[in-house]
Amino acid sequence: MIDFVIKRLLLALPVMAVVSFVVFSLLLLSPTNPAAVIAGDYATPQAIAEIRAKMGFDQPLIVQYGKWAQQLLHGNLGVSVYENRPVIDMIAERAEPTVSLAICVVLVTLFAVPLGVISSWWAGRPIDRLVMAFAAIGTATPIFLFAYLLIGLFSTKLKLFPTYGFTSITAGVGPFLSHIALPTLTAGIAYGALVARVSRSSMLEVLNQDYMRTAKAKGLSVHKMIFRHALPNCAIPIVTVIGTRFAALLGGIVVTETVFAIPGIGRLCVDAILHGDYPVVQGVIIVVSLVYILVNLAMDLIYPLIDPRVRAS
Amino acid sequence: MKFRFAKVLHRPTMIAAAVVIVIIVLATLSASWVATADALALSAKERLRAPSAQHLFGTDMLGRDVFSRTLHGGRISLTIGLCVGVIATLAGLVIGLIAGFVRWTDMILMRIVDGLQAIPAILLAIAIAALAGGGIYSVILAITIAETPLVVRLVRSMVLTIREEPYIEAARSMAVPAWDIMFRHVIPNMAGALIVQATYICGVTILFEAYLSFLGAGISPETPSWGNIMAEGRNVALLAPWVVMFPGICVALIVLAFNELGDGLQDHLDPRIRKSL
Repeated sequence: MIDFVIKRLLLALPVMAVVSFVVFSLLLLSPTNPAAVIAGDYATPQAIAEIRAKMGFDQPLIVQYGKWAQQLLHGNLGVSVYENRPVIDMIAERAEPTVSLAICVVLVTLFAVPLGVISSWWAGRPIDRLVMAFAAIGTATPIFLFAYLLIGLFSTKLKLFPTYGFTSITAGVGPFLSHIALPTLTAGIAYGALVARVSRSSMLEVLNQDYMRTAKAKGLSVHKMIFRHALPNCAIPIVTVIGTRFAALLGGIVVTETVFAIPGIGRLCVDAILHGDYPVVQGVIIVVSLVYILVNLAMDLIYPLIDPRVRAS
Repeated sequence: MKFRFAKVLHRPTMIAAAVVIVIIVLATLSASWVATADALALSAKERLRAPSAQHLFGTDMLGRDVFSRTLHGGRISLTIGLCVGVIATLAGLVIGLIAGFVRWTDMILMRIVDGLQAIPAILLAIAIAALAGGGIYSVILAITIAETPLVVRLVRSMVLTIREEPYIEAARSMAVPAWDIMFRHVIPNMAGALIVQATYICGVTILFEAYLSFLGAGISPETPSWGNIMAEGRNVALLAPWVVMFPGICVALIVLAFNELGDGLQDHLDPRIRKSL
């Protein structure tokens, strides 16, 4: 197992190297001079040149990348151009809302698994069509449309939840849940729709297997058939999609944070992109990609636990 | 790759999807004639009017007719969808073929693909679009870079399967050149799956354009697109929901139609690789 983890971590290294190179290369696309941004609107050309030399922007790109990557390996994500603070501190400050939202969305998404199971069990029936319609609409509709529908109904009309903002769980479970409920539903619809579709299709595949027919012929109860034979055999595709689409979930969270004015990492990144605060953009993308890689590593480690055949191989 | 029209008739949702796409495409193409007002004309006294016979989709905060803007905006959104669908599929095809056929490039290209896929597509697209300066070309470039890795992975996996087939071995033993094998045997065998993938990408791109504009990194507000009409309606979404809702429904309808068309085409063109997602 330890060998496997080490091997997977080693495989992640070139991926992180590519991510870092892509993130660094984004600077090349920018029409604005980072030194000019740092120097401010009224800076003289001489001041800009000085900052350029001081920051190393006048050096060859490969040298700049080498220095930047070296800092990165020491955990230094640089300093924000606008706030003049370490990027790592800014990300740490904004992590709680994003992590809370991501965990809540994943928890809510788990409800999509039984939806997919029900749908596959009654495949072709009205309940199946209903679930599949939800899945189709969930994946096709811009999530901010759901956000405004939910805000209009639950905040404006029924006044059940606040319209925007975030409250830490340390301030009490009640306020935390009331603030996070609508963002969770918003970001969870698209992700849940996907999980419901995958659960249905992998469950359908398992239900058509010979051993399921045998189980039915033996007179096994529906409960045992599903929980003992079907679900464990279709768990891997479901876990895989939860892991591989985690990046999509993070994307959804960016939009959700914007609609609900949640001060999270996604919002930090979008603001930084729009202001041209490159160190923050680079830092956030690096951290988010690292999280994605670690989540996928965790998924790989879960496989042997849910399917003994993987352990054997 | 055979397309049987009779089989299509057994899947009414696919016909409905095709009809929706045709209607929306025709409506946007004929926007200059169908639109009830000038999409850019401002009118202070017509601000935030609810949908009525005069303004079918209401008006926005600058008094512009949302119906006309939605029709004109559809042109931009559909153009971006189509361009990214074609460019990402072709780029993915070329890179995937190289990765699948030229073995020493496989490791390098696939690590690049892994790296690109580790970055949330929305963040990557926003960063590219915003840093490249906004505008339609930046948006197309941004979404193409975010979508191409998926196609590369698909093409590479198909090449690895197809290249082991007996007919490829037979062609090789007859000294057929590699490029000939690629164009005569490999690409035709992937055409169905690629058409399906391009269809999905068109849908996803239209959704992406909406997100980019919504977050302020898409097309500039002077040119209406479904995304920036909704972005402009953000601040009045609760007061005048029609500004966001109608273009949003158009986005949902067309994406739904592209997805359904993709599912249907998958079943008809390439039943071996049935879509599991």
